[in-house]
This record gives sequence, structure tokens and C-alpha cells, in this order.
Amino acid sequence: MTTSTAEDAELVAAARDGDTRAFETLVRNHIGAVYGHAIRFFVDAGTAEDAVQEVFLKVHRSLGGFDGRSAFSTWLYRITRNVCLDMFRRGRRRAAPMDPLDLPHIPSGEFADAVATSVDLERAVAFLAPEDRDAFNAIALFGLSYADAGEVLGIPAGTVKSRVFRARRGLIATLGLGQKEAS
Amino acid sequence: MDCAECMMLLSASHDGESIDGAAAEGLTEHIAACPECSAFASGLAELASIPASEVPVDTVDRVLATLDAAGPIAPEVAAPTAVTPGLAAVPSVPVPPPWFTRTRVWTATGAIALTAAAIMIAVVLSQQVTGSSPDERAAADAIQRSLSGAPASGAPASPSLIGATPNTASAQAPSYIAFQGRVYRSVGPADIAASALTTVGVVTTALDSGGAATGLTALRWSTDPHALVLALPSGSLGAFTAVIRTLGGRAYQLTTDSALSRFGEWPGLPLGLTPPTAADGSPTFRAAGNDDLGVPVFVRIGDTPSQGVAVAPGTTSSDPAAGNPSWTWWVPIP
Repeated sequence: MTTSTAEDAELVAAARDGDTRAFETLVRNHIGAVYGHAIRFFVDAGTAEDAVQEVFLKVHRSLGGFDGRSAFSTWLYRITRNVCLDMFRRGRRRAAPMDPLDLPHIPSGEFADAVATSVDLERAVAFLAPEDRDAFNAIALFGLSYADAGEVLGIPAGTVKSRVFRARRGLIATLGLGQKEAS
Repeated sequence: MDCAECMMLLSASHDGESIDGAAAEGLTEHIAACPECSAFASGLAELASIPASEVPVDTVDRVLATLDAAGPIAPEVAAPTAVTPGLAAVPSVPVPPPWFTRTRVWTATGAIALTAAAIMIAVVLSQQVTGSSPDERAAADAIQRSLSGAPASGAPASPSLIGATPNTASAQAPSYIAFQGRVYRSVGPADIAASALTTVGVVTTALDSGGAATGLTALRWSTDPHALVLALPSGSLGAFTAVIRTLGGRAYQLTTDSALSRFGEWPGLPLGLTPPTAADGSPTFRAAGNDDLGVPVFVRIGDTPSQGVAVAPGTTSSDPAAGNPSWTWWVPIP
């Protein structure tokens, strides 16, 4: 779910004032993006849930110190990415993505008529280069601008643009999208 | 406007980036005349229409219960962890799964003589091998030896993978493909046990067929990060190796933002880098010495080689990308 920066700012302010319902709304609004990043990082659902727990516990502990200089979604993306990287460094490994026979294959006449699902998308995302996947998640899941994503990732906005483009091109090729008009 | 630029603009436009009037006009004209970019535009819309994965309901419940137990928000707590630099620790290649042995059996057929450049891959396995057996390691070692023994110099050879009659007019054109933004060149057919390979994605290329580009499954050896294998339309396998130069003993791989949809296409600079207007690399680059073969390399103003190096066109025939008509961009690899 994508929410506006203004709505997030109101919820953050209310949560900091002790409004538990506001905090719950904040979590519900953003848990999809956090889970999406985590499942694409670790592939395994159980590990992804552990990451989501850790992310929101960090948010819970740190929200009082969130200065609002960046958008909440940018701050959340930074925490999410760091939690996943830290878990990986602590030994949580990435599962093998999938059986190749389940690949949402490659442009073909038959597949071009099929409809790609979110499951297909996640499987295809698992094969992106990590840096492309990170940039794509920042834009597509968290709704960051190229500039904000670049700040979190430590790269120029133009590089974010290039990586997101590369990710999309790879996903379109893998999922066989755009073939109906081309054929 | 070329296809790479058009697709990049389409992607950026999809993210709300503004496009000026002239660029928008050029974009419209290009899409109207280019089936590939038109398909990409449709593909973007289709991609955007795929719903994101739903979070399991019980996951949401468990997270909220944990947070509820954690009590009220604490005021003025220190900010969260700083940005974690780099992606070196990010898992990129999946752990080789056990599926290959149960899904397909490809038997080895013998040593294969290859290519006009006399590049040879001769991996012969007389029996199916499993995950980490000595046979597999021996096969992988043989592949590595044959790849590293391939000439690192001279114009890239263009071994036919499709069987089409070589076109002498394009004999010097590279047999390049692009995978995840990095460039690989063909070293010919490969005869490799399937159990030694892991699927890592899809490469869109027409190879040397002269036909339309199609998606080919890309595979890797767990032991050789510089090698890539494509499952060819014929059912056989084609071997590719990273296009690499070394600088201070460190390997740098040629990159591309273009799809390189068929053999003979050259990569240029990434779309975010403006091609220099002078031989000294200005205004984009500054000279940064020579690589290990004595070829001058350049870095972005304010950068170091660890962020990537540029090479000017017109390198000698001993260069790994000899003949490239444009500036090229190379990034360090582990």
C-alpha cells in the first residue's frame, strides 16, 4: 500500500504522542513493502517474517528519534535494507529461489497469452542482480524518488534510474511481457 | 534516439520523471517506428499491473502482537543504524539447488573443437555427476582452465552458435551478450554436465542467427564467476566468458546499458555518463594511468578506479575490446 508523505507524517506524529492505533496504521500501511523487500532478499518466507519483525521493532525503538528530515518511507527503506544485510552477515542465508521448470519463462507464443502473477514476478525478481533488485525495490515497493533512493544506496540518482531500468528490462524479458503487440 | 535511450526514458517516465517536449516528441516517433520499444512500453504497463505479493495475514498479526508487547513508543531514542555501504555481502547467486539431477539429464558427448580463434572448451563427462563430486570439480576446473587459457587479447572472435554461415563483413564484430548489465563474449559450444550448472536468469539475444532476439536461459558454474552458459534454441549449450581487463592486478568487466540483442553490437558508456568531447576524457573523465596491458584508463572526475574506469575508442588489437568505436565503461569484479 502506498501512502502519502503527509499522511505518514501525521501518523508518525500521532504515534510519537502515544497513539498506538496510529502506529498500527503506520505498520499496516508499510508492512507490504518491508515484507516484499525481505522476501525478495531471502526468498524464504520464514526468514522474511523474522526480518519484518526486526524492522518494525527498530522502527518502534527509533521512531522517537526520527527527525523527519527525510520521508518516513525513505527512513523505513534504509532500516529495512540494513536489517536484511545485517541478518545476512549474521549468517541468515538466502534460499535457492526456485525450480527452473517453474520459471515464468521466456517469451513464447503460449506464455505470451498467459497472465503473469505476483508469484511469477517474485520468482523473476529473485534472479535480478542484487544492486538492480535493491534499486527496483526502493522505487517499486517503497515509492522513493530516484534522488531519495540514491541517498540511501549511496549512488547518484542517475545510477538508480539506470538500475531500475535494467531491472524492468530483465523482468519484462523473463516474464515474456509486451509480446502480444509485438507478435 | 536509440532503443536504449528510448527504453530508459519510458522507464523514467513511468516513475514520474518529467520529459521535455523535444524528448517526448522523439520518444513518440521512435516507439511508433520500433517494434522492440513498442513491446517494451507494453511490457512496462503489464509489469505495473502485476500485483505485489500479499503479506500473510498471520505474519501481520504476529508483528502487531510483538509490537503491542513492546509497549509505547519511546521518545527521542537514537536514530537507527547508518547506511550500510556497498553490496558485497548481498547474496547474488543462489545456492546450487538439487533440482537439476531430478529434472533433466544431459549426457556428455565428447570433446568439442571450437572456433576460428582456436578457443577450446573440452569438458567431457562420461557420466552424470552430482553436486560436489570430484568429477564435477574436475569438470569445472577444466572449464576454467580452458576459459582462462583463451586468448585475452586480440579482437573478440565470433564463433557461430547457431550454425549460420559466417558473414565476412561482420567477421570482426564481437560475439557479445549482456547479462545483468555486464558483457560476455562467446567462446563457442559447451558440453557440460547439467548438474554443475545453476540457472541465474535470462539473456535476450538473437546470437548470430540474424532473426529476432529471444530469451535464453542463463546458467553459471558455481566455481567460475567469470563464465556464463546459455541454453540455446537448438537445445545445446553455449559458453561465454566475461570481457575483462586488469588494472593493478584487479579484474574489471565491460558493462552495457544496451541489451546487445545480437552478435556484432557494441556497448557504449552507461546512459548516465556523457561521452567525452576530447581525447583527454574531458569534461567527463580524467586520465588515471594505464591498465596492465598499457592501455590508458580514465575515471570520472572526483572518483577513483574502484568506482569504474573508462577506456577511449581506438585501442590496439591486443585490447580485450579492440575495435570498439565508442568509449567503454568497466567496473571491478570480485
